[in-house]
Amino acid sequence: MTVRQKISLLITAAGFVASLIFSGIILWEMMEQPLRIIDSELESTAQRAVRILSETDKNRTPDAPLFIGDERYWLKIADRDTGQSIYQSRLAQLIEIPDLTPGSSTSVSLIIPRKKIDLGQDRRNEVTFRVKKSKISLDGRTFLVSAGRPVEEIKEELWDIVVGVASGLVFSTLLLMVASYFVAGFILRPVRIINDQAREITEKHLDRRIPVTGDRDEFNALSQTLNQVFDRLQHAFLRQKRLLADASHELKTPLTMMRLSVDEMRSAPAENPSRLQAERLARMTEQVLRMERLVKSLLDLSSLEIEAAASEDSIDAVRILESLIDDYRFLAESRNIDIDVRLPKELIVKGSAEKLNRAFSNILDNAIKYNVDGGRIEVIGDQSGMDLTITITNTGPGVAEAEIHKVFDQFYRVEESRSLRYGGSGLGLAIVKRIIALHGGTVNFESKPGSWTRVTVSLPRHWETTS
Amino acid sequence: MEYKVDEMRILVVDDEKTLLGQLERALEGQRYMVETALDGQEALDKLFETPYDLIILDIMLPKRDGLSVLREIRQAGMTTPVLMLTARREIGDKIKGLDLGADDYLAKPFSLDELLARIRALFRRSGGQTESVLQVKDLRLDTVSREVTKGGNSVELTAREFSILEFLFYNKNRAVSRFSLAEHVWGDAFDPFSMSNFMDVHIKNLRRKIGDPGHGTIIRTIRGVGYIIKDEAE
Repeated sequence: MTVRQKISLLITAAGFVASLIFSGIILWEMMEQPLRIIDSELESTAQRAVRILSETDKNRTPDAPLFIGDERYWLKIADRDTGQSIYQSRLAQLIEIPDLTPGSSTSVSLIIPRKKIDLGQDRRNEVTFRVKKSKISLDGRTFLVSAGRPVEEIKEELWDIVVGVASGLVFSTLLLMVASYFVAGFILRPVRIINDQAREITEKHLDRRIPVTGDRDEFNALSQTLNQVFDRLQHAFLRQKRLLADASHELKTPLTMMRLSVDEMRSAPAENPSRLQAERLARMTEQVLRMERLVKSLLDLSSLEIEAAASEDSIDAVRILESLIDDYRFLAESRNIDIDVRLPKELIVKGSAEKLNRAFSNILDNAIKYNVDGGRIEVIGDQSGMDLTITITNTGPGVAEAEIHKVFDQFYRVEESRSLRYGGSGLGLAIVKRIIALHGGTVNFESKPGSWTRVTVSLPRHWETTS
Repeated sequence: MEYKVDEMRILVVDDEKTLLGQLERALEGQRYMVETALDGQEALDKLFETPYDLIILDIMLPKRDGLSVLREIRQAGMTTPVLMLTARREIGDKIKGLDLGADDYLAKPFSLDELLARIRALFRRSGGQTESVLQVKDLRLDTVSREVTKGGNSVELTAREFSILEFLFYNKNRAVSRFSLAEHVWGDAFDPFSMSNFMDVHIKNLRRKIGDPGHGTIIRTIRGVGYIIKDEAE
């Protein structure tokens, strides 16, 4: 889940809870208010009924009407002392409502068929009554009065309000969700910008920095901190590079001396050197040469890294490749490796012939070294797309999926036993990648372990036609 | 016309004493007369005192660097060929490109075979050595027109084969290693380890073309070392 989603979810949840509490309180108040009014209405009806009763004849029958206004009320009046029922309204005669303790009031739901009496029942013939039982004393007598009335319309009105509030709540929550998503996006916009810039800096331009405005907010603080990290990173990076270049450079003079020494010993050997001595000299010579090759490659790589772009000559990659393949033919033939070349007439690119020669040479050298005896190499050139591509496929055992991203790393091969056998410096593909990048192109490495390995070089086409 | 090695005087300038001693010994082994200087000032003093036939000049020197020494002797009208030594190849390219008056440069580290070949090539190109043809027995190699003849008949060689033969010629009477031969012929773009393994194939083709089959009477194989071209006299 993104931070944006989290923020909008939190805002929505908080807003929802707040409005839920608010509407709950409002709803409670709205539901209680009409019931209190009805209760006081019932109270006054009860008192009125008692007054009328005490004024009329004492010998009346309990079901004789009181004429207190209408027959809307459910009324039961009894004498507290004798327990004798004094009066029952028509509704009370028809409908039975459970007795209450004096002084309390309640709402009761009853099922009353509409055919019997119409009280505004709902579809299920359910009707709600509000009932209040009061104890009323008048002229020395005490009456127990249960007064009630159907409140179905009020209940339905209240239900409408509940539905209104609930749908309002849902609507406002949805609105809040959308709004907070945009707000979260707006708040996080600087984070996205900072992230994009930081990524570009680490990947491509370690010398650039994230722009910092004068505002003293958290995002500027973050930018400044990141910039400090980049400063340190760049410093360490440059120092490491310089160290490598300096160390390699310092190695050149002692290497020259070692090289001259072994050359001298070889060309003017001691009188009757033993076989052991000759072997030792050969071994030492080989190691000196390896070291020399390694130091040269290291320096080449570091000077390639300093360069910003290759020269701008028009170069035919086909000629470079054909001449290289010519040179590698003996090497390939010695291991029965077939080289299949499918190149167009010409592939014109802008750049440095020397550097491209180096890059393709390294790729072809690997294609032979890491191939199987009797294998194949396919060199295909294509310029039908936007870029021109040169694909060099070999039938070597290749590289495991998990290792592929490492092939362009410096010294990738060094830890493998194979590299010792073939004498690779482990810098070949790193140099290739750098050279192709200098030409504005890309190198792609694919491999199916145990089956094939493919290096694809894409270079920008040079559109100017050469006469 | 063959030049006389004994008369060739070389001044070697490098601030590294051990390397200087090594170069001195190696060049004296080739019967050159060698003098040495440890810094730019000493080099200038010696150069204005006695004439030399060749100067081997390192760029990084104390007191006066190699480039300022070069500039000064050229301004003084000295045309002695100069072989610059540099630890950085890019600087070497720059010297050549800027045309400061250096005749050739060699990037460290280098092989003795390469150094000697360069020195001989420089001697041939300058100092009155106008003859561009190298000869062993009836095999002639023209370094300018890049033509090879055997007993007067033209021999067609590939560019690589010519380069191999030329390098052997410049190292005449010296065994040249497969590796330095591969370095010289194929340059930095190739792995000399890969290429030197197939030197025998190239030498075989070369021998066939110059009519020198088998183990060769012109190009001889020295086991465990490399190849050599020898004068008839030896």
